[in-house]
Amino acid sequence: MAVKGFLSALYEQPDMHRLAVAQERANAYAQARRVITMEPAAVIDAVKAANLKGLGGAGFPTGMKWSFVPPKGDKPHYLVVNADEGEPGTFKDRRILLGCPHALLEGIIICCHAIRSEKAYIYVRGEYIHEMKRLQGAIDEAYAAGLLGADHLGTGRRLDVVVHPGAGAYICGEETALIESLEGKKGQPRNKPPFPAIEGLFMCPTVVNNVETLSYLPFLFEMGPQAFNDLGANGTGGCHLVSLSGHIERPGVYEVPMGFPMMELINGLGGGVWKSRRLKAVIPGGLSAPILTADEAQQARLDFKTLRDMGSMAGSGAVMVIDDETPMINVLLNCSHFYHDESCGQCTPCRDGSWWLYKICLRIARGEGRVRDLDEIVRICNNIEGNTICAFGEATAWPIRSYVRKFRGELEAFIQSGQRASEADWYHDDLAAPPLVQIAGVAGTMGAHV
Amino acid sequence: MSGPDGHRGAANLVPVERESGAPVVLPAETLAWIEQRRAMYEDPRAAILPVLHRVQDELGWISLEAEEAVAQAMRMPLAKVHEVVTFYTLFKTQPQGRIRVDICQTMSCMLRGARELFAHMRDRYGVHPGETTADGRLTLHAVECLCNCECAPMAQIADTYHGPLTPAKLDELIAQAQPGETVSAAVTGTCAAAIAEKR
Repeated sequence: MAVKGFLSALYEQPDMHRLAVAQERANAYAQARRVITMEPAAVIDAVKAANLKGLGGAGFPTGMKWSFVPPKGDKPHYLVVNADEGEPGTFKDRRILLGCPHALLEGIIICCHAIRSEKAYIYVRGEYIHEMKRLQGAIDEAYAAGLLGADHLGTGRRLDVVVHPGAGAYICGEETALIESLEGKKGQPRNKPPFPAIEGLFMCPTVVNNVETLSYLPFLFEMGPQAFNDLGANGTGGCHLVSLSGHIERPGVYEVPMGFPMMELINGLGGGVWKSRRLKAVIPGGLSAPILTADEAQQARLDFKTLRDMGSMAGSGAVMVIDDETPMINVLLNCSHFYHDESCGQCTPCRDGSWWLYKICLRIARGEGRVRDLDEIVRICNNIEGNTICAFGEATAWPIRSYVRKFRGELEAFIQSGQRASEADWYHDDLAAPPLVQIAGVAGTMGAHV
Repeated sequence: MSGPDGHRGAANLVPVERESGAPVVLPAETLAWIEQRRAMYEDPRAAILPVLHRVQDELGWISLEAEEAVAQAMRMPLAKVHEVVTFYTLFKTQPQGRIRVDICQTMSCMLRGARELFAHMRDRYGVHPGETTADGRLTLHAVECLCNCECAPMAQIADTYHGPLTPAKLDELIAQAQPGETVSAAVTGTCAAAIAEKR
């Protein structure tokens, strides 16, 4: 299937991050100029009709999210752009930040008009140093050209855009944790309600949108909501950027319409499993997505509904391919370590549950496991799921439980063999003993309950 | 962050020596940068992450004395600064080597051989994750997904992503590495002045 590029057609061109080039070759900001003459409600209706969904991972309808923002009162409204790309396997937003930041800025102008906001914050993960610099350069050019700042685009209103660096925390990709972090606190998610649309940044109505979601807005308005919707499938309009990695011949970002077949991605665009090996499993939507076996992958399509119906999720569009020479215990150990490492520590089921999961997986990997450990893993996952403030709990429980359920035979055989996994040596045994409280040389035992 | 840095979710109850030994006095230029940054937010306290980046960019790490200087400049309680510093893995609470070598350990890099890189760092440079070489030139960290999985196995060396890496390629990059661009420089732009002017 031939795929016409939208965002990829921009970021694959050299110098598209420069304003003059973006305006000359890609007609940048033409849609923003048009949209700011529309009624905000009409803009939201168009985005709803286009069935644009949140491409950061949640797949929430974008127009509906915007419509939750109340009519303008005394409080300012904010747009917060989630550029805290962090879902393992995902590397698409950085393509936009580096290659076509003006598409994002144009999307920001459109969104801010729709939600009546005069300030947008772009929260970029702290490791993206070159991405932040590129983005800041684009913003400075946009200010100088009157696209941002006082009386931007001749509207008589201000629009300020601030790049805000994160500092290394996966949880800050969760929208309320991101807001807390942006406010200068630990990035721990908030209880909802109130939702950010009512009380978000600085207790004001706030929309949090992903980089890619906003960057599709100029295309949506250029082709019209109906055409955008028709590009997609199964209830979601448009295209999305799929990050393909793992055991694949041609890893990279591929822009495909919603509903694109998984095997066409892997065998067609991706050139097949590397080293002529066979497919064992696919993680279809970032590390938090339940795994698909090779058989399941044959039927899979890359859209929110199809993957949800298969018991997994499309998430951030990150597809990780696993070949048939990979022991599942390595995948299980790596995943459990990640969620233990990144749990923010706020909710006990997640903080302690992810720790227990990692300890059990490490024990199994060291050849000291028992078959009943697999039941224990499922039991812990069942007790994390649904019992935490944010979706990190599910993001931990779902993939780990899926590995155990779908590859139980292999894991049982591994445990019974008493073998040691090749990955086992790489994980510290820093969890073996509970920390002890030591105050002024007096050793206590409080730590045993920590 | 695995290794000696511990886990952000669990209380680190073992006291860690974090004093640099001398009070930190922030230069006037840094204090001016902090004021400009504070003016960009409706609540000035929101500037704490960029401000900590700036201070770390200058000092190399965040000592307890640096936290005190930041608390004063930000008009924030020291405890609030401390809880932010210890939550985020990019803020280093121990002195660091001049070059950071952050090797990704998450799924796609693991699948494509990240362990070979860690083994090489151990054998060739004598460092495990969290450790600095004896000459103080580089510090190795094992980090979670840096979101460049198409180049797995990959690492961030100083400011830049590199991959796919082999031990030989890693040696070459480490030999050439310079400290490079900083976070605080990357987010400093002309728009800050425009926002400050409005206020």
